[in-house]
Amino acid sequence: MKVIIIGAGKVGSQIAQTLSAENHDVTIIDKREDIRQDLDNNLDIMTIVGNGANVRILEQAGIREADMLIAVTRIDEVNMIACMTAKQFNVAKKIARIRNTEYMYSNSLSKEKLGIDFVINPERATAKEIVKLLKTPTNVSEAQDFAGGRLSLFGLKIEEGCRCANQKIKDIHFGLNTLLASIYREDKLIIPSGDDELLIDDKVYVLIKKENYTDLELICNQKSCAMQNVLILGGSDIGVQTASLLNKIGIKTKLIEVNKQKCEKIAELLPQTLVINGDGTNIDLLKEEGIATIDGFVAVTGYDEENLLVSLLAKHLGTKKVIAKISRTNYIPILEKIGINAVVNPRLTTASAILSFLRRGEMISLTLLKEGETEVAELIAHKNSKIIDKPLKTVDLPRNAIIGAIIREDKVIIPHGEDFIMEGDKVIVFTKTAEMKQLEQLFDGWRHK
Amino acid sequence: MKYKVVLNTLGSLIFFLGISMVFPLFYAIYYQENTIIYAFISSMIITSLSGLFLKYAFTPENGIGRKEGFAIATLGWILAAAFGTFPFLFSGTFTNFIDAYFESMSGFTTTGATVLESIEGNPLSVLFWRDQIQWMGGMGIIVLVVAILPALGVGGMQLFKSEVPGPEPDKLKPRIKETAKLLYMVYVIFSVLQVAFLYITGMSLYDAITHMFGTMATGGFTPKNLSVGHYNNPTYDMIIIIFMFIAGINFTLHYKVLHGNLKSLLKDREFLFYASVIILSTLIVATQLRVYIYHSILTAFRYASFQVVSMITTTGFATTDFDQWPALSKSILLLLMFIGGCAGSTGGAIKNIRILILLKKASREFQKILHPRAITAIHLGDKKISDEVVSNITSFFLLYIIIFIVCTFIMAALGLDMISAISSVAATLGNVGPGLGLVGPTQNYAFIPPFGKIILSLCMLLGRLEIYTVLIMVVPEFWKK
Repeated sequence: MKVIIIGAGKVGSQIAQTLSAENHDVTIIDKREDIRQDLDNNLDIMTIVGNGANVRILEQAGIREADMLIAVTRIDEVNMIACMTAKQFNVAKKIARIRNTEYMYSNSLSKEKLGIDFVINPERATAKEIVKLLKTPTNVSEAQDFAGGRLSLFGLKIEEGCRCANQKIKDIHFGLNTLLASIYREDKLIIPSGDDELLIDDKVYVLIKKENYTDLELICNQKSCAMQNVLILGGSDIGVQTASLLNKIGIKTKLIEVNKQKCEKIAELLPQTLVINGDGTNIDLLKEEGIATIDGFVAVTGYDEENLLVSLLAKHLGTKKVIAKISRTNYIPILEKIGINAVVNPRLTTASAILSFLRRGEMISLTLLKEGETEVAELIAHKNSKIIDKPLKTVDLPRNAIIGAIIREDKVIIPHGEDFIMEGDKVIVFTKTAEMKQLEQLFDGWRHK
Repeated sequence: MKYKVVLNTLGSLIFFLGISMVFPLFYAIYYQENTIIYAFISSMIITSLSGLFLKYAFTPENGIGRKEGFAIATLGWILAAAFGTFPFLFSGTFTNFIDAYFESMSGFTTTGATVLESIEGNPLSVLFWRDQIQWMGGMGIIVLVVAILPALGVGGMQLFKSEVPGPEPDKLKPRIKETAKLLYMVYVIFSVLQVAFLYITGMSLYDAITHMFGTMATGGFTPKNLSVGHYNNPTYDMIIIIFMFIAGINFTLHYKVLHGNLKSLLKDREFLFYASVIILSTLIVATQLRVYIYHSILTAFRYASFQVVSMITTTGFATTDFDQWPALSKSILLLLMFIGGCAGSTGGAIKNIRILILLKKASREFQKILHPRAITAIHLGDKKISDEVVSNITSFFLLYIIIFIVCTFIMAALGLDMISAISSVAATLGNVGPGLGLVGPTQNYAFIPPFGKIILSLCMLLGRLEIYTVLIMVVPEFWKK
């Protein structure tokens, strides 16, 4: 597949990396020369310096033969124009990042007119993720729905006091509807077998059916937080959207923002939120606003360092669940070690959303775990696939792949060695990004031969 | 440095090299050179098995990074030249390893400097091998590996960069493997065309193929003592001039032209510069030859254009003993040895694009003196050349000259006269082949002491891999983990 990506920012390069690892032909357009050189050295893709809304540059990038255009520059208008241009060249799939919600809700500029097949708003997607995380137990740092919400994937850290810490997996009695999909120990992926032990500080991914969510509480040895009130630091788009989503489900919110004009605007937008004008790094202000008694703390200012430090402070002062927004992915591995419950990264969230759209049809949804090293995907088993109609234990899977769940019509099956995959089943798989292509071929059977 | 991935990739390279010995083996069987057949079979077995051993003894754990790319390129060339000596040694053409290595390196780097006192009289299959390695080295053995090996990913780009000549290699396709394949495709198309032209105009198939090897790779080896002068045939001269000229042009540009984008050729500043240098030099040399040597203007033009194109593309073919030409003509030829072909061509030396950018930079300095506050940028056509590239080119030029000077001193210390010392280094560093004086077109490099041959072999390698790739290996920090 030939893909043109416009904007080599964080999202653009993450998508380029994933798609290029799967042997797609990626061409990336960016205005900045230095970023281009960086990409050239690190990825097997073509880079072009220029304005992605310029027809000449797009032609140079091969838009005539392109199958897909992903416009993720910082400027909404450029993204929209690029998609409109791509529409003229009959590019099959066009994706744009549009931040400004005013564009998204206006009827005169409908998606069809602009030729955009999929619009992603990173702030909104991140806000949704924050809300989802706030609803889970405190040591859950990742949450993702599959199969239309009938199945969820949780990433959680094994902490002191967990019921299953230091036990062999076969001795832990998971419910039949729960699967321990993978373990990360010291940044290495382990596909677990019955004899592996769960150690403290391991990060584990569990797949749980919706009706068995209580199992999660069993594993974590604690109840999901019944969030009553949440304190949000930073009046950024993410902060505002998170507050508005939380208000909708009846959770009380306070929002601290340092800029007075911004505060006034937010107060107008969010009548149910208490907006406080002040410096969120000021410990007295935080104490005054009752940081010790609140259930959830969300730090979403524009500065990673500030988010990080204040989150640690909040945790220290007794907040139950602390979530920080971090833009630089290379910080993430250490953050969970130092006590922050969960980290959201708009870049990974956006990249995940776009990738899952790209694979719609073949693959229904997809998530990037561990800074994009591992993928979780829903694949459909095709008619001639080598994987169907034989016990799973005899199937020759790639080395770092595991089958998480089988969705057959309305049933969700957490599989065991004796289970079969049947034609048309949707299967949730975990794999290293580089092995995804192999897996897809296994499921497709004839398509790539 | 991740040794495993380096050794593994080198294994593939050596394996392909062993397999490629099947072509001269075919000629050995065809010409019934019975003793030579065994020489090729044993070379082939030793080479491919060594390759397979390296490939399977070392399983790579990580991909190829920047450092590994340089190490694979440099070691790959050193090893390829070493394994390439086997047919020479086993067939008895050479008895001395240093001589065989010089000849092999000269072939792979498309230099075309020989230590054979007499070329004719050697087994035809061995001469075929001697010419064939030029063709492999022309577009590049590493590029070949990138094109053949399954996805190397980013590593492929690192390898590609370390071998393809020029300041900033262009990508034709998003995937480096596809780019490498396309470049080889263009290379093969022109090669087949040239063989066809030479064959149709009357050359034997063997001669046509071996001359094509020398031309398309801008190598300069031929199976004849008198080089192309052997035939004294204006038609052959003409065909070879055209294909040398083609081989000296950026192959990325060829691809675009073959795709119907003829304009890109006329818009390419480097190509225009290259063509103008050739036309201007030919005019001067032809005029001088008409005045001093030949009575016909056509003959003067024929010899002048052949020699000018042969020198600037760093091929090193000769149709006449240009060492007997007047001083101005010889000086021009010596200068052309430094200019070389275009970036991304099979030609060697400094490359037109670098000379062009250096000239632009020099003229910009004048502007700066007149307008100290002027902010200027160097442009090639409508493309801006980044300061980083400009400074890289300046340092490259400086290093090239320093290496040239140091090696000239060494050659002079070994007893060569000044002209021979200068031209022997210029001709090997620029991958040209024959120089002037004692290493002139009718002479050879056999008389040079063994140490001198080693130095000149190193010059060839430095020239082909454009200095940095090789010199980075002697920086101790390079080898640290």
